[in-house]
Amino acid sequence: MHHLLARLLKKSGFSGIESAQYEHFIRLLSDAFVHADEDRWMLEHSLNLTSKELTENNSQLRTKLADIDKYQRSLELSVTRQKAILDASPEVVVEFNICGEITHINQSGCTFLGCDEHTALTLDATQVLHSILSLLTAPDVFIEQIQAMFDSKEAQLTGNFETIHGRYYEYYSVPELIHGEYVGRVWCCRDITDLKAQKALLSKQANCDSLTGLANRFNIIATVNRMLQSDVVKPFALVLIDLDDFKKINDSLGHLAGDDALKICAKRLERRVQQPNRLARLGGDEFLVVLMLDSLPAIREQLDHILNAFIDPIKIEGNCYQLSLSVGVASYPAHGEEVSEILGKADIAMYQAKKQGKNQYKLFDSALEQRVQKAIYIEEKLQQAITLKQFELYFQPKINIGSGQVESLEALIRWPNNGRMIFPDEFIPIAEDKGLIGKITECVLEMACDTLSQWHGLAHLKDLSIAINISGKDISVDNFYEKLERLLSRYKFNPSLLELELTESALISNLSNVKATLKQLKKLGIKVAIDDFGTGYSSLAYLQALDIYYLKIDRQFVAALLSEPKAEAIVQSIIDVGKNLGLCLIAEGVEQAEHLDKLQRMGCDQAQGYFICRPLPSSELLKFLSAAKQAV
Amino acid sequence: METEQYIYHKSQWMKAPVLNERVQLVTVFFSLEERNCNELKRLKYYFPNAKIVGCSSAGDIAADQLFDDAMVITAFSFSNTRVAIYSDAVQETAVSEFCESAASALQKTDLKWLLVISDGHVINGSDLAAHLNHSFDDDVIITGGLAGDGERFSSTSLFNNQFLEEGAVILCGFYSDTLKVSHASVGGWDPFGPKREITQANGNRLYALDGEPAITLYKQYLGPYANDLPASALRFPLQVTHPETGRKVIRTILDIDYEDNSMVFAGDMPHQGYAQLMKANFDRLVDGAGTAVMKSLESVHGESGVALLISCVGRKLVLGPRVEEELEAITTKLASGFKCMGFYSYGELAPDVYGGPCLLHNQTMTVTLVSE
Repeated sequence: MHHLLARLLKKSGFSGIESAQYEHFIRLLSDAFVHADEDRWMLEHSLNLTSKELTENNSQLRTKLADIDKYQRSLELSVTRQKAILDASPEVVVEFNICGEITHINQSGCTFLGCDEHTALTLDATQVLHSILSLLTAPDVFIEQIQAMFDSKEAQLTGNFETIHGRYYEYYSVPELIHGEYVGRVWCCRDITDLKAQKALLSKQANCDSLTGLANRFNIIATVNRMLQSDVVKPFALVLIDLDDFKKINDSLGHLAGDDALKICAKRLERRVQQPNRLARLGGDEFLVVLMLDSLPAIREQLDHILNAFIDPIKIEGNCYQLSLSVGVASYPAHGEEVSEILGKADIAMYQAKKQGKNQYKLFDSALEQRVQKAIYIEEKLQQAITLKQFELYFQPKINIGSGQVESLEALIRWPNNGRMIFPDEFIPIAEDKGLIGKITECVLEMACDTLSQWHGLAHLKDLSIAINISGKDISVDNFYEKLERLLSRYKFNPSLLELELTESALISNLSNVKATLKQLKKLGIKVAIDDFGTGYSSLAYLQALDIYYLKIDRQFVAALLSEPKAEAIVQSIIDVGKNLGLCLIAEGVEQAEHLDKLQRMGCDQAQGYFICRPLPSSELLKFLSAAKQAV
Repeated sequence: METEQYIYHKSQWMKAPVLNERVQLVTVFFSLEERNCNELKRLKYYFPNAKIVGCSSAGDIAADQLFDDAMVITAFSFSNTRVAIYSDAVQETAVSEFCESAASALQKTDLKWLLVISDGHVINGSDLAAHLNHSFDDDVIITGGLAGDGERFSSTSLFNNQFLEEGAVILCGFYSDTLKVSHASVGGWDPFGPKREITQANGNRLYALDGEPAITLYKQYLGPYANDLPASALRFPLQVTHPETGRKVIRTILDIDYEDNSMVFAGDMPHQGYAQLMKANFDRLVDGAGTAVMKSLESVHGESGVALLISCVGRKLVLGPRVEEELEAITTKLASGFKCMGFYSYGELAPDVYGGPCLLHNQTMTVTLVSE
């Protein structure tokens, strides 16, 4: 029996009554009590469990809520940053929803549309489209370009448009897809106006010469190539123009004045070269004209017309300069099928024109080509000879006119090649032209030093000095002295046995530099001679300013000494000036005994020439010296 | 419509039936401990012209009384109603074929009410309701219930003039222009605690809620009563919310399969749906029964008729000695001419709203009022 029921029965005095007639009823009553207890227990139990569960859930939710708050803050920060980034971008960025209404727009987008963000976000699709189209110069073209977007929502678009405000934009449009479902579209538009202008400028710079505004080398070569690639190629001539002595303007007036001169030249040429002919500046003082002409007379006429453009002097910084042109011409198809070939031949012709006295034009011919090829051949061989030290030195004695004794030797270079001896006249100009003269001078100096070194231990030779011819380019090099000093340090002979012969032209190129170098050479004991005196500038100022030891009277005066009184006067004057300045005088080109007598009478110190001895290889020289010694 | 009710209780008739050749239909609900009872088989002799249909139960209802180890029979003599029966054994996968065949046999223009008596152990009640809705016209009212087996949950039996094999369904069609049928299905249970996601389920088998085994949860809540599983789990039915339709139904446990750790419910457990435990409250349950009959009385009925009461075995278990209070709540609201009969079932079948599709319910009192 349920304990509560039992207690209640007991308390109410029922406990004694246990007759069978109440037994069933009391059992039912007890069951009802038990049932109610069970139900209550179940309810409490389930409520406790639920409470516990809900408390746990609540705790988890609080944690999740805190996380969500954190994420939300982070998201808000991220959104704010993104918006700031987008607003900072100069690109127009606009996001549309599925209905074509603006959902996001950055600052540049607002500026583009000419409205604030709030207004942009309240526009419907038609208003947005209308606003955009009203800004475009060609709305129809734009609509056509973006047609793909109306055909397929997933289309990616890219293109350009121009606004009525003269700005150019490049646009890019991509759909926004979430799990493949189209939810909107983003447009980015970049203002490419400046970029476009810059590209145009770059293109111009790539094709135009910035100084003269003429077509540049790249442009004209491309033009000629295009002509050559066309189906029907018309004959044409390439006219290569080089300004004569333009370097002088640059050197004397500076590069800015040189640039002005080039501009003037370009203008003059431009006036003379009419369409369909073309004019370009290849670089430096070189211009190229493409003449669309076939007949030689017509070409010649046009070339004269061009040359005549420079009859009048040009005026720069108040000074007038007479400029002239050296012009080389080669034509298609006669002189080649490719632009490089034709231009190369025009170049050969131009150099020929320059060589033949400038201010003229030369048409390319094959003989000219042969000459150039020979020069190329010599240049190649020279390179080889320098590397392999294939040169030889010949020596021409210089005697003391009074005593007849050999006092010095002029070393003269010879180049044995394929069984033939090549003389300096033939290869030195090419070497100078191709920048090889320095290396040749080095070879000669080294050979001379070797010779002096060999003679150093020989009693009858140890006092003989050797003179070397030095070009203007050699002496102009900044480190000439240092190189010479380094070379001499390898030998033991007295440096005063080495003499250097310089032409007058070598002195003028860089007087102050040469002056310093000669001073240093003097300290070293090296004697310097002015060669071919009287034929060049014959400036007395040099004689005063420079540390010179010898003065060599040019052979042309000596040759005329016996026949022309003027020559005799000149020789006498040179001797007198030299003597007065304390210089030692040497006469070149002495070919007769009378020359020697006359020179002796005139007071000349030394002489050299075929009458005394022709240039000899070292083996024959020793014989000559030994014979001469005996004769003296 | 005339009805007579006879009760066989504790191996004897409280009032013995007499031969009646006018009776067209006899319903018999039995909670007999010995189902193979001779009196059941002898019914045919009392009512030679009647169709005799019924099923085993978890308690038989007659008026406001509940009988265990009993048999309650109700004999119907209609004045304007025809009755046709269709029954067959149904394979698990063949519910739709059964319903299609039944509809071809029973569907007529004047089919008013379809009484469904189904096996309560192996038939999926949700499936059966869905296919019946599909096969029969929308204006046919479909109500009924799933047979019971006391609190044993072992096997149920159907009777159509004779015992049918397990897994059968009896459909009883009522054809009439004058028959009035109304119904209501009310639980009175209160959901409590958190809603849990059905994370693992297959058909009517529930494995896990919120990723935890469902059995573990039930054992926690049942405490010492866990020893009485699966019957004790009837104290905590689930309110299941369908993930797509949002429709809420009450689902009660039928069985536990300890081999695969699943709980078998009397209806589908939709994957990713939400389940919430429900608790009983005596008064709310009793009120629920009263509400059910009041709702069904919203339709006009004659002075006499029958009230078919099909209540859930879970209610009986919870209400315990107070179970008859829910029967009293009904009988007191009905006119004296209405006879109450029915049984405690393993599932109730009825639309949740008038004119709606038939659904499987659990833990409800389902009332069908019938009058001519």
